[in-house]
Amino acid sequence: MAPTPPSSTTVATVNQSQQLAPREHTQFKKVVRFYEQKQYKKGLTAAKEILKKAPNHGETLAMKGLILNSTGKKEEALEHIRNGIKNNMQSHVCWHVYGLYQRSERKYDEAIKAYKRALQCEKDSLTILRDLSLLQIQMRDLEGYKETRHQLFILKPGQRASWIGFAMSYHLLGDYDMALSVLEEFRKSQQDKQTEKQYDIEHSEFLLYQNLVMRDGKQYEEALKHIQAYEKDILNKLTLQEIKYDLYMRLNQYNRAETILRDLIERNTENKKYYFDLEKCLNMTTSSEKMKLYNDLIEKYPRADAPKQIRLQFLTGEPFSEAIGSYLQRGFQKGVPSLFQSVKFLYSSLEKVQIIGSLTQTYLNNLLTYGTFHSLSDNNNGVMDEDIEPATTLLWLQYYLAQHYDYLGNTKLAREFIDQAIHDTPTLVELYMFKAKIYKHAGDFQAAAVLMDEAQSLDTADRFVNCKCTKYLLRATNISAALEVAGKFTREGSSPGEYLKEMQCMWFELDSAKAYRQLKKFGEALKKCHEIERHFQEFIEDQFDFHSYCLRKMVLCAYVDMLNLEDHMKGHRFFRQAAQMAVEIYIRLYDRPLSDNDSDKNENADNMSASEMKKHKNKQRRQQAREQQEKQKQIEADRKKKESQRSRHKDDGEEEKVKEEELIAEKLERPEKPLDEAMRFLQPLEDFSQSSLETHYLGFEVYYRRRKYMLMLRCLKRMKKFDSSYPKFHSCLLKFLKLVQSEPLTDERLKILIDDELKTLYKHDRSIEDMNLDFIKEHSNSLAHRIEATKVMLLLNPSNNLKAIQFLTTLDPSFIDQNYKTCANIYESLKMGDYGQCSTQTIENYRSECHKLWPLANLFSTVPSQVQHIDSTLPPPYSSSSSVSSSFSAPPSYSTCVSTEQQNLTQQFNGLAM
Amino acid sequence: MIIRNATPEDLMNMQHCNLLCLPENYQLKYYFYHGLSWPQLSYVGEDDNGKIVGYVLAKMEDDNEDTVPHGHITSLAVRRSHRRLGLAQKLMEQASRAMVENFNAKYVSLHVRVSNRAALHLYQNALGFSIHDRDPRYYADGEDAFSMRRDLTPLVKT
Repeated sequence: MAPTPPSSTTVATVNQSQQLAPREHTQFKKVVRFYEQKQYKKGLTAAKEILKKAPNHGETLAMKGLILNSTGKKEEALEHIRNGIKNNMQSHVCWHVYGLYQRSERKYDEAIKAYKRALQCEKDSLTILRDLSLLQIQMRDLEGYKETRHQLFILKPGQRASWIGFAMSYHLLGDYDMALSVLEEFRKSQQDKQTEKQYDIEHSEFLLYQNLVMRDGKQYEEALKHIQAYEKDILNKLTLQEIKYDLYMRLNQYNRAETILRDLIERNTENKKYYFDLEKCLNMTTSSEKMKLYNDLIEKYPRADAPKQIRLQFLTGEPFSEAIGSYLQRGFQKGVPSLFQSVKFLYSSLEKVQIIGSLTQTYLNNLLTYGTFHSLSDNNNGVMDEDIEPATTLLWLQYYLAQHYDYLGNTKLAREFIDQAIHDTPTLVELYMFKAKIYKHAGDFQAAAVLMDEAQSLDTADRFVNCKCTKYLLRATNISAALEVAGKFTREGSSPGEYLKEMQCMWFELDSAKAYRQLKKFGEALKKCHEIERHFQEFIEDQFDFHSYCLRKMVLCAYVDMLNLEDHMKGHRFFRQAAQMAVEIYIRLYDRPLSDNDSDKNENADNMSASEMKKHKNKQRRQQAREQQEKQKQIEADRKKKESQRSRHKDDGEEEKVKEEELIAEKLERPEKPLDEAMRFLQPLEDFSQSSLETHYLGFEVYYRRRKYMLMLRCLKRMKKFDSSYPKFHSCLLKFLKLVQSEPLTDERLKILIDDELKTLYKHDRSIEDMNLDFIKEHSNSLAHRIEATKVMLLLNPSNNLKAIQFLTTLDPSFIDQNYKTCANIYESLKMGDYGQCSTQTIENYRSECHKLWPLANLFSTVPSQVQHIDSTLPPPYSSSSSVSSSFSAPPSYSTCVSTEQQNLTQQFNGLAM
Repeated sequence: MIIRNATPEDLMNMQHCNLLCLPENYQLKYYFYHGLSWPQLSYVGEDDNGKIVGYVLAKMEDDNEDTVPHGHITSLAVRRSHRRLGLAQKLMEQASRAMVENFNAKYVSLHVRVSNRAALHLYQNALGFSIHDRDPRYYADGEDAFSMRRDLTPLVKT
C-alpha cells in the first residue's frame, strides 16, 4: 500500500523565496498528483521545470526526493529531501516527506519524529495524523496512539473509523471503561441509521468487539446481558455460542452452558474443548460418570472421533481393552494411516501399552490363522464368511505393529513387520515412508534418505512425500540432492532455494542450516538462520497495512488478536530453533575462530583410508560443482528479477522494497565480534522464548564470555526456576562459582550483590568438588547429568581429563537416557576435543561399543552406509533401490532377543505370508 | 485431533502445512489478508501436539455488487499422514456453514487442476461440488483449471 502523499500546498510560509508564481504553483500540484498516480517520470519532469524557475523551492525539492525514493534512488532522494527541509523548515510538506522517507526505510522512530515536526507546522492535518497513528500502533507507542486517535476523533467525529480507533486506543491501554463508553456512544449513534439490512456483517463484528472489551475488562455480567440483547444482530453464530457458554460457565449457570455445549457438539463433533467443558458443566469426577456420558455421546455420534479418543484416555483395565480393541479394529479395516499417531498419547501408560501389545499380537495371530480378529474358540458358531477380513486389514495391522515396535525402540521387530508388509504390498507409499523413518530413528540417515526417495518415486505428484524426501536428504547432509528433489515442486526458471525463500519456507531453511552446521559450513548455516530471522522481520512489517484496513473493514476482534500475535511472534519454534542454532555457532566461532585455510574443510581426513579419501574428494568436487551451478542459477534468476523490476519501475514504479544487505557465508563465519552477533539472536530468545531452558543456558554461555556477572546470575536463576534438575544448571552454576573464585572481583558492591543472589541458588557450606560429587551421586542413572558432571571435573582439573573421559564413556543399560541421541552427542564432542586431548584409541573404543548398541547408525559405523548415496543424476530411485533391497530386504532373521511368544507368532506370521 | 475456527495465531502454521502439501504457495501476508478480512471462514485441523494437519482457507467473493454473494475456497490441504479421516469434508462443512450464516452465501466455488483426478474425485463425490466451467491456463505453469461450485442454499435455515 502506498503511503498517503502530503496534502496541502497552500502554506503560509514566512520566507518570500518559498512562494511560487501561479504557473509553478499549478505545476507543483501536478507533481503531487503524478506521485500519487505513481507516474514518476512525469513527476520528475514537472519538478525539474519548477526548479528551473525556483531552484531553492523547498517543497518541490522534497517532492522530487520523494519521487526519487520511489524509483529506488535512495541516496539522491535523501539529499533532495534534506535540501528541501533546509530551504523551508516551516513547511509541513517537507517534514511529512521526510517522515515518508524514513518510513520507507523502516526507521519508524525517526518517521514519528518527522511527523511530529510536520504537525507543529500544520496542527490539524488529517493525512499526517492518520499516517502518524499508523506508525504509533506499529511501534506499539500506545500512549502516542491514544493522543493521535483523540485528535482525529475531535477533527472528524462523523467518521466511523474515528470512533472505533479512539475506543481501541483505550482498549489497548487497558482502560476498558473509557473504551466501552466510546463504543456505546457510537452504537447509539448507529441505532437510527440501522437499516433493515439483513446481513450487516460489519455491525455484527462491531457488537462482538464491544463484547470482547467487556470480557477483557472482566465485566462478565454486562457482557452476558449485552450478548443476549443483541443476539439476533450477531451473524457469527459460532462465536456467539462460544461466548455465551463461556459466560454462563463463568457466572455459574451450568445448565444453560450445557445446553449450548450440546448444540456446539452437534455442530462440530471434533472439537475436544467442547467435551471437556461439558464435563466441567456436569461436574464430573468419577470415571463411571464420564463413561456414561461418553458412551451416550458415542452412540449419538458414531462417526465422531473426538469422544472415542477422550474415552480411551480415562478408561483403564477391561473397559479400556474393549474400547481400544474396537477402535483399532475399525482403523485397520478402514486403512487409516494416522491410526498409530492418534493413539500414541496412550503410550505414556505402561498398562495401556501392554494391553495394546497383547491385543494386536492376538489380532495378528488370528488374522493369519483364521482371517478374522477373533479366534474360532471365541465363536461357537464358527466363522461366517462375512467375518473374514480383506487382506488390507492385515496390511494395516502390520503397518501399525511396525510403528508400535519402533516407538518401543525395538528396531528389529519394526523392520520385520514393515518388510513383511512391503513384501505383500509393494506399492503402498506409506510403508516405504515408515521404513525410512525406522532407519532414521536407528541413526542410518543415508539408508533412510534412499528409502524415502523410493517412496517419493512411487507418487511423484504428491508434495508431502516429496518434502519428506527433501527433509531426509538434508538429514543425511546431502544438500544438493535435497535441492534437486525439492525443485520438482518449485517454480520453473528460478532456483529451488530462491523460490522456497520467497515463499518463506522455514522448515526447509532450518533443516538446511542443520545440515550445513553438521558439515561445519558455519557460514552457510548462519546464512539460513539469518534468512529465517529476516522472514520474521518481514512478518512484523506485514502488519502495517492492516492497521487502517481492519478499522475500515470493522474486523476488530481478529485485528486485536493479530496485534497480540505479532507481539510474541518470535516465540514461534522456527524462530527459536534458528536463533538458538545461531547463538551456538557464534559461541563456537568465538571460542575457535576459523583460520584462513579453514575454507577447505577436511576434518575427517585422518580417519579415512586412501580409497575412501579419493572417493570423498571426488564427492566433494561434485558437490562443489553442483553448488557452483546452483549459485550460477541463482545469480541468473536474481538478474532477471531485477531486470523485470527495473522495467516496471520505469514509469509506473511499484514501491521499491527496502534493500537488505546481502548475506555472504564467508563473511558471516568470520565475524569481527561474534558475541555481539550472538546477542542479536539471544535478545529475542530471552524476550519470547523464556520458557525454553536452552535459552538461558545459551544466555549464560554468552554472558560468561562477556564477563557479565549479573546477567549470568539471571540466567542461572531462570534455569533453576523452570527446572531445578536441569543438568546444565549444575555445570553453569559451578562454572560461575569457579569464576568468582579464580578472578576475584574488585567491585565490592557487585561482590555483595552476587553473594546475596547466590544464597538463593545453592547451600553455601559445600565446596565445588563436593557439590559435583553430590550431583553425581544424586543423578547416577542419567547420562545427561553425567555429561555436565564431567564438564565440572575438567574445569576443576583440566590436566587429568582421561579420568573424566573414562567416567563419561561408561556405557550401561541402567542409564535411563542411554539412547542414540545422547551417545552420538558424547561421541561427537569427544572427537571435537571438547573434553581435551585424548587418544584415538579411547574414541575408537567408545565408537565400537556404541556400534554394538546401534549397529545401523552411520555415526558409529566404519563403513559409511550400506546404501549407495543418491547421486544428483535424478531420477535415481529405482537404480538405488536395488541396493536397498539387497542389503535390507533380505528375509528377516530372528534373533534370540525375541521372546518365545513373539517368536512363535512371527514364525506363524512368516510361514503364512511367504 | 481438533477441528476449529482458525485464529490469526494459526496462520503461520497453515502456511507451513500448505508448503508441505500443495504446489500453490503464498506468502504469509496473503494468509493474513484472509484471516483479517473473513476471520469466520477459515478452519484448521489440529493434532494432539498442536500441529496443523489440515486447513481450509476461504474467502467471500465481493468484487461485484450485483452478483449473488458466494464463498470461495482459496486453499484446502490435508497432510498425507492424515488422510482417510474425512478431515477435508469436515473442514469444508464448517467453512460452508459459516459462509451461509455470516454472509448469506448462495454457493461456494473453487478451482482444481484438470490433471488432479484425486482432488476432482473428492470434490465431486465427497464434497458435493460439480464442474461449472473450465478456465484455460489458470495456473502459473499454464495448466487449465476446472471451476467448481457447490450449491449452499440447502444449508440456509428455513
